[in-house]
Amino acid sequence: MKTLIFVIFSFIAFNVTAQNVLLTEYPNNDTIIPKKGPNLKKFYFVYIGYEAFADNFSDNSANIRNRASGRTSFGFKFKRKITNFWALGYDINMSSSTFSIKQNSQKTFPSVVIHKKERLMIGGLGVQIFTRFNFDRRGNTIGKYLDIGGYINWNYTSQHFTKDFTTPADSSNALTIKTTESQLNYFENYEYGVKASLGSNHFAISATYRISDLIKSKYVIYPELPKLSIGIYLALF
Amino acid sequence: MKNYIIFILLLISPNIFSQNSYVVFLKDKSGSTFNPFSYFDAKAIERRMILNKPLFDSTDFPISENYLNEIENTNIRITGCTRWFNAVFVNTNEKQIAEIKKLPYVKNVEELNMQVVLCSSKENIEITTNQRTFLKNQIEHLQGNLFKDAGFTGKGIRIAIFDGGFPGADTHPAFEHIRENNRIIKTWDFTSNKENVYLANSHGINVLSCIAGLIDTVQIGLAIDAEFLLARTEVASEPFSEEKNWLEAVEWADKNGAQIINSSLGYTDSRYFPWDMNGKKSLVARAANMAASKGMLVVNAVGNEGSNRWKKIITPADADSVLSVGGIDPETYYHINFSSYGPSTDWRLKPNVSAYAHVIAATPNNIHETDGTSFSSPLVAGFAACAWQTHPQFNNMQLFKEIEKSASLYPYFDYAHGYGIPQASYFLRKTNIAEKQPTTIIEVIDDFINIKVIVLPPKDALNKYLYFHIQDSKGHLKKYEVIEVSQYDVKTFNISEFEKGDILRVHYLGSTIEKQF
Repeated sequence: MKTLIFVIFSFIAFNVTAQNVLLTEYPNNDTIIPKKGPNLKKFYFVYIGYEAFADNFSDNSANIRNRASGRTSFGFKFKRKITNFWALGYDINMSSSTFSIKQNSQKTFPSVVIHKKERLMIGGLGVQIFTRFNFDRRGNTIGKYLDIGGYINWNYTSQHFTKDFTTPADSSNALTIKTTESQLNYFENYEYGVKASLGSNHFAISATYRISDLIKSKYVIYPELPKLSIGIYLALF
Repeated sequence: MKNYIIFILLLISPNIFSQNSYVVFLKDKSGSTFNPFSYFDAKAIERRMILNKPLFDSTDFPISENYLNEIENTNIRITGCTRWFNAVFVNTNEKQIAEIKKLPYVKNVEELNMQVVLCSSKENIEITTNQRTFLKNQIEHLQGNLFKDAGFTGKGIRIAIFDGGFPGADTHPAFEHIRENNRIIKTWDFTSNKENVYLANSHGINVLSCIAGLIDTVQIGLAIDAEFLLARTEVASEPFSEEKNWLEAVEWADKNGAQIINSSLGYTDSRYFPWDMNGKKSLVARAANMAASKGMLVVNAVGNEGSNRWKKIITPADADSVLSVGGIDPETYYHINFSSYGPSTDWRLKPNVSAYAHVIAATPNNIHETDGTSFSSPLVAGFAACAWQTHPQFNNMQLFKEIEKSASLYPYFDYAHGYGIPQASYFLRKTNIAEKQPTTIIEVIDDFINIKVIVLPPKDALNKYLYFHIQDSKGHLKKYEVIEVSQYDVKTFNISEFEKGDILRVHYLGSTIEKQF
């Protein structure tokens, strides 16, 4: 007990009289050139993005509703600087593509049935490799750049949503009928394509063109979904 | 869909598709003529005569008219020029610049377009009840009260200020004493080529007040009787700007007789890396050195990068002839956390001196508390004007050295404080030698080196800290520390921490001692 009291007393006494170091600097440490940074050897960051589909179904049947259709993505991007004007990199991302389908008489896909609302969703995990060309001389910033690359996505899930009302829709007794159909067998499990981005520091505009078909070849009656999407990306760093 | 794409393009395109700015250096000034008496203001001629500088200096000759005409005939837009560097600024694309490079009289071309950083942090607009006391301390930490009592208030000294705008400088009561005597000599907005600078970013009025503000006989800055040249060189607090404005402004300041330039801004990572801060890489650092060679004292804030990734000083504070000013926290009286650290990457001492970086300054309509080394710099610029008035025979670099010597830590220094806070008593020859008696002991016992203080710090001492650094044989600091002293035994080192040629230097209560190994 006596020892314990002595130890506690010593500890308190030490802290009461201890010198308070307010500032310590080792200037040599600041001369070490870091390897990680926006315009250094390696750089990685996360980003969010949204691309809107910019073309029609392949058979020009009922088109998608642009305002409700697009691909939202969240990803991790790594860049390896080769020279001040050239870099290589890869990108791992999660995406969710939504195709909201116009309901009119031209509609053929995924059926001719007219719903109040109808959309298809594909969830994907993707990898992209890209080469970056920078345009400007700059310090430790991303700067202005053009990325050109190719991607491959594993479409791990797909769903078909519909929404209808019992008739008459405006009746107080009308019920909402929602259906969800999962793991749609007419979608390919993989897709690939090319992608180009034009960016300036945190922002970029991007265009993605899917080369592969999304609809399995045996479903010949189905039109192919829009292949071109254009959007905006925000880098978070 | 079309609208969506157009919207995205409009959002992004100004950044991506804009033309670049270049500076085109010319080989000679063929055919140009120069009359210094029609070009320079009388004050500029007077400064050259006092400092024994030539009136006919080739760097002051204008750009060759023939070359200018030829470049203009290629349909390239010339946005400005610099006599000192014999260069023209152009806005054009890479194809046209390739043509320009082929011209026989073009020496080389550098790309401009960079992001300026005004060195102020977020403002605190809350006005405290202790403003008068705060302002008294703001002046007295530099012993500005001694200057005023002795009648040194910067009278006859012409100060040029480069900043983002001066809204309210033409109406605010803190500058009435300046306006009454027509001591705003000239103004120019280099961003729009107009005379009116009383607009845009209020950072400039903050800065001006820290040099010469006066409210109800209470000083905000020291040089209340100085003359001013106000140059707007930056578009906003975080714009894409061009260093060309800074270059043009420095020549304009020289032409109009500036003796001191205060620049509370600088350039960082839009164009440079921290290791580029060697005083030679950036054009503004080279221009600042040339301004010094023409007899002007350039005072620049070190920047507010101390607590972020950049950490180091910004340019042109890295230039060797620029008096770079770091920030002190008025509460703690040592380095304020955001003030950028030195040295320059070629190991020159930066900052050179320090001053308060939390101040009361004028806003367009009022006064407020605000943070940033932006305000340390004008406090020292005002100090420099008063100091120069005490010794008008000094040239700019003599004044530079004397300001360093006057500072509170001298001959001790480190890369956070420089030599400390300049003190007016040094220039008024009121320094009390008795105060410089040793206050510390360096003891060597066996393999240990102990730093001991002789007296504990007085309770009312503002600067009660013990500073030590270890300097290697090349003159570079390996380590430095600031310690709040509360007992006699302050620090113990193992002797193995030192190498041959190292110097352990300790500063405490105004006295510096050292031990060489």
